[in-house]
Amino acid sequence: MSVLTISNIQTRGYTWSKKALVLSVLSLGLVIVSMWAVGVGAVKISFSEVWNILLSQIGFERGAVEEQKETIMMVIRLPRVLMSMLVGAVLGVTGASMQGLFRNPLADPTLIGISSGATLFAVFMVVLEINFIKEFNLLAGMYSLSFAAFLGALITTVLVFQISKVEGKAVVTTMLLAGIAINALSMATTGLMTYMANDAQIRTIQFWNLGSIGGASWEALKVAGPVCLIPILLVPGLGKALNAFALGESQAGHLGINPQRLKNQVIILTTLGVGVSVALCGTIGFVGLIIPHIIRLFAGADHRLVLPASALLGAIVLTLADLVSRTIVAPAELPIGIVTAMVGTPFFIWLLIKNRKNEL
Amino acid sequence: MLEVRNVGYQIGRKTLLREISFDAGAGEFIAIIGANGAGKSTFLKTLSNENKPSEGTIKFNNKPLKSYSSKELSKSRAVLAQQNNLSFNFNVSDLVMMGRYPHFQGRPTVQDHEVVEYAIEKTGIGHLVNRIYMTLSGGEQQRVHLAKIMCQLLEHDEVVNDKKAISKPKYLLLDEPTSSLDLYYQHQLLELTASLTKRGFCVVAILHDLNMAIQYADKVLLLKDGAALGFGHPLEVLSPVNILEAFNISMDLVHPAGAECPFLIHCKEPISKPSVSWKQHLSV
Repeated sequence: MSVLTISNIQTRGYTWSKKALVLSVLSLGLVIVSMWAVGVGAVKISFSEVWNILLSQIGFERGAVEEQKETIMMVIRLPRVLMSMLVGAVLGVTGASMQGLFRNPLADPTLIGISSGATLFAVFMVVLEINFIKEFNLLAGMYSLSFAAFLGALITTVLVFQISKVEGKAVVTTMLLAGIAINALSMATTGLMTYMANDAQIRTIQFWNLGSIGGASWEALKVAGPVCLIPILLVPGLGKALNAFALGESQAGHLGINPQRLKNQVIILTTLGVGVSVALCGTIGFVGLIIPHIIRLFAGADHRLVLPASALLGAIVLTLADLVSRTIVAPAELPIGIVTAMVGTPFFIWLLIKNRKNEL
Repeated sequence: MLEVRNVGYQIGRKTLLREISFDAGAGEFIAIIGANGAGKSTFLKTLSNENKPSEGTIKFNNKPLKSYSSKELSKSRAVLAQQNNLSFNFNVSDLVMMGRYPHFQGRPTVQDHEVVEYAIEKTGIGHLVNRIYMTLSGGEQQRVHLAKIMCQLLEHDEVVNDKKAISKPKYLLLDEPTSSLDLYYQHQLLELTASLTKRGFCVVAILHDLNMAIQYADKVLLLKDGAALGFGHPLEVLSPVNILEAFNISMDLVHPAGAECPFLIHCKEPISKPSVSWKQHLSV
């Protein structure tokens, strides 16, 4: 027993220190990246100035900072960075949980049509001017757009899941094909809406198709923040169940996990997160697909680590992507969906090639 | 005690199981034997609560199966499936730890790790703990799952003193556990399950090798077309007549001098030919 025990004790210590290490490195990275991102732009704000502004906001006076810089940071940059962090974290964590639920590393809210379903419903609201709620109350109006996107996301998820289900199990190829079909249908309908739309509406639709964090404001954060935090905080708690789910539904059941309950939890939390992020920032592809992969590559498949780490890395990556999108063609802005797709597609292809080799 | 009473199972109009009844006590090894399509796996799935029986009742420890919560059930019975696929690259120690999931919230305790180490040692997979599960051979994977289900059922104090009988009967349901194992590990697995039955486990296993059933099982349930052809002592149930009935093949029971137990061997001269050949079948 002795030799075995020693090797296992090492495994034991390694696993836990690894989780702590990965999460603290990512948290530190997120703090640094966000403080840096707040400072970059037409007006540069140094690290120490960012620090001083933040401290003065919570009541500590630490050295004088130009008022203009403070205004730019507090009114424009900080809400934008916070929004990138929130949406990135949502996309990362929901992507990871989707992949766990479908038991397939290629599942991603964009790929299987959830995002386009959400987009479609949001576009419906805009073009068909279903804005009677907005006239009633501005805040309820903002919520109603989010709610429509959420509804679109929910309907597509349930549809894809039902179509791809054979004897209670989601068949992955069918699921991806169903995703393609639903994507095509949504695109066609969105196209139809574009045809009917006026100039202003077309710009709004384009915003939804390519994504942008540009609409970030404290008001939008007040709406989105709490909704985004629900999946970010609750999904990591499903790690154990998703691990067992990797063995298949019936074996997860033997381990005392209720598969149906897990499915409902993941679907509701994912559609909630994806719905609200699409409503606020449009479709941002590839983040949900690639972030969990990078984590698994470096830290293994354990969902108890993959889920929170994907949230953190998603936040980092989207903050950086938004930084690129607003600086690369300054003073204009590149839609963030273009940035993530430009970087994400080569990675995705590399992933396919790598998987192909594994199968041989 | 496992009580099975008049269990039947239908899908649509097709009857897959009918009128199966038997009792299995703590410490017993029950082998389920039958031809392909006789309903062995369907029956095991019914025992493991995957299929809900259309008729009859199943009781574990005097409590009906359907009134168990899934959590409660997961601590008193474990299932070794025939096919195991795993998405994502979990390593072996992660997978064995999944067996402890019913026992801890959040993160595993030191006790959980000790149970995992015990199961890893008992199944002889210590050299595999840091390997990726998907890269293992079929037999190695099978042993990893065996370690997992041992973790699922054993309490920490039952590991600390592994000679002591367990406090309440627990059930292991094994679907062709020896299918992908080599000769050495087939017997190692059956020895291991035999040692668990000595401590009070009840093992129900689908076996294909009749001689292994004779050697290891306390009782045999012989199935044909979804019904029990016999239940009882292996040598009684696995008589040449019953085997001909169940498998349509002639076997002789041989007990050479000096051999520990008798064994079945296929005899060259069939006792009787199949009643309807496929040619006759076509002409009808």
